[in-house]
Amino acid sequence: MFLLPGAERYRRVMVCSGIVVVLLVQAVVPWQPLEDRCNLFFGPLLRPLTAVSATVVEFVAPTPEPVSTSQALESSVLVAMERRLGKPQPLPGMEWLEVPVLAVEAAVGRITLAAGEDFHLGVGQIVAYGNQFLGRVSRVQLHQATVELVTAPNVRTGVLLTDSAGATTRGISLGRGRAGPAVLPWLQSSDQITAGLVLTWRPRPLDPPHLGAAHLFLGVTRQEGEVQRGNAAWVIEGPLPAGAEGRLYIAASAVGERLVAEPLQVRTLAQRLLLDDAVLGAGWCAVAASAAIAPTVLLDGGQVGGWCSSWRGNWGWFRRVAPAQWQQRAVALETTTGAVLELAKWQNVTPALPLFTRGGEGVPRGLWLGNSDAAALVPAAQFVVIVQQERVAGAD
Amino acid sequence: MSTPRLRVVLPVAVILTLFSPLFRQLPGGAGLPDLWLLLLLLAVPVPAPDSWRRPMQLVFVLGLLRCSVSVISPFVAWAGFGAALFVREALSRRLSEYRFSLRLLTGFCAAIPLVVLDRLAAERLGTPLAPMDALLRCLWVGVLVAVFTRPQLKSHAFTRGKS
Repeated sequence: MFLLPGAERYRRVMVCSGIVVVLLVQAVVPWQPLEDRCNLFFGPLLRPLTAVSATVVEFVAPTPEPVSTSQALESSVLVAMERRLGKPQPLPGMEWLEVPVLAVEAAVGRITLAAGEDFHLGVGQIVAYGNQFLGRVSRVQLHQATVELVTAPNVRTGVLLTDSAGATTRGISLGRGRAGPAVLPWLQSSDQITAGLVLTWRPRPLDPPHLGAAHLFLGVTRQEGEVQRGNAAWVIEGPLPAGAEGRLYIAASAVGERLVAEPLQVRTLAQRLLLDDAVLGAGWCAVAASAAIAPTVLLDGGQVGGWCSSWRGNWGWFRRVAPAQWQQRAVALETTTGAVLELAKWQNVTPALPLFTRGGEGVPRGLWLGNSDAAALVPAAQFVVIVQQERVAGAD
Repeated sequence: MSTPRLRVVLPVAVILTLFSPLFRQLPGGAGLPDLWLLLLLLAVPVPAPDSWRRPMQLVFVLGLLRCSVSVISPFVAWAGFGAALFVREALSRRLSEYRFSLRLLTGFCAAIPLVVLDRLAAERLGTPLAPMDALLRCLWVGVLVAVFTRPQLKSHAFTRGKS
């Protein structure tokens, strides 16, 4: 095709403009598969340059040896505490299976478990934490299961109400999801009902008979709305325990070989490259690993140093933040009472509490972050361990 | 028509890349200019050469080098560098290169796309870039481009051929 020089120039300009526009779109609205492929392709090529840059930086401005200000805690402390608080009373002929939680959607009354058919879970099994009834398994896949809580929309649960005189009344609760706590639309006798009465779970006729003897707690009664306006309703006040976001217990009358479905964790040695980002500045750490895995968190001396933001084949970038900056992704352990606290309860507490990872999004639960007033960890040059939790969500 | 002299530009870019983390660690380092963008704007002449092959190659290589020492995606660098060249080309055809203030304005505007994209990426990564730092980065690029691209400088280390 014959083109005038001017036209040819404009054609080239148009082609380059098109390329730049496409790149701009990708930069503003990143399409993750393309980013991942690009990182995987160019990452290993760029690693030598990053390593040389790290050597130069270390030579010019050596990193001081990190000094730990808080006493190291075992990462298993939270897990041990959750097991102690969370395992319900033993029942004759029944076993409580321990299943870690993958995701919690408390607003819609749904919890996703990190085990499924592979752990012999079945639809309809009851789920508890401590002496509290939470719901039932509603869906089972190969590697995960879904629990519908009492508060899930349209979930009906049998309740047993005990009044102040010790008399019991049967009733049914109805979950409302985002609309609020479960309501009590039907009670055998609503004459003696007052606020603050204890509600326990009532089994269905086909549930194993011993479950009824467990007297699992559901919550306490509370009145919502106004009686004069005619919109008053009795609701169940029973918040989800913080420890239930880590692991739940499922009643089973027949079990497999294992009673604990702990997700697989892969740990590998890694090496620190750069401690600063050349564009964003401090708060980042480039880490090289020998194995080509996609890690999620960085561990040094049993303490979590940061989470992975970008992985490029055999090296990547970790975000280094102070333990308190993990915010919603951290839980605190009240060492004296053993209570597991959420962000709102640990944020402004003095003295500082030890924080642990909350779990989910590939980050194992219960890894020690440090005390809530501690600064961001500076990982040592060597012996940095990367932890990877099997991404169960993608397996089904 | 002059084109970027890759044999000179690339080694300089690699050396800058090696020292760039130190550069950002300097006091007030967050407000210092983007070294790769600066090098690109100095290496690609105005008006742009007929063939955009060399400038685009440079955009690609500098983007990769930047990505080797930064968590920010190479797409951000490529888009920012490419947009910077286009903005500068469009402005330099309309504004006189004989006035320092207009050269500064051109350099400042050329730095804006990359800084905006960096801010977006930083926001996504949870480390927001302060507006003052972003402004300073643009200003630094504008000043340095205005100083080093004077029309009186007939020969340039980073380019070859005649303008």
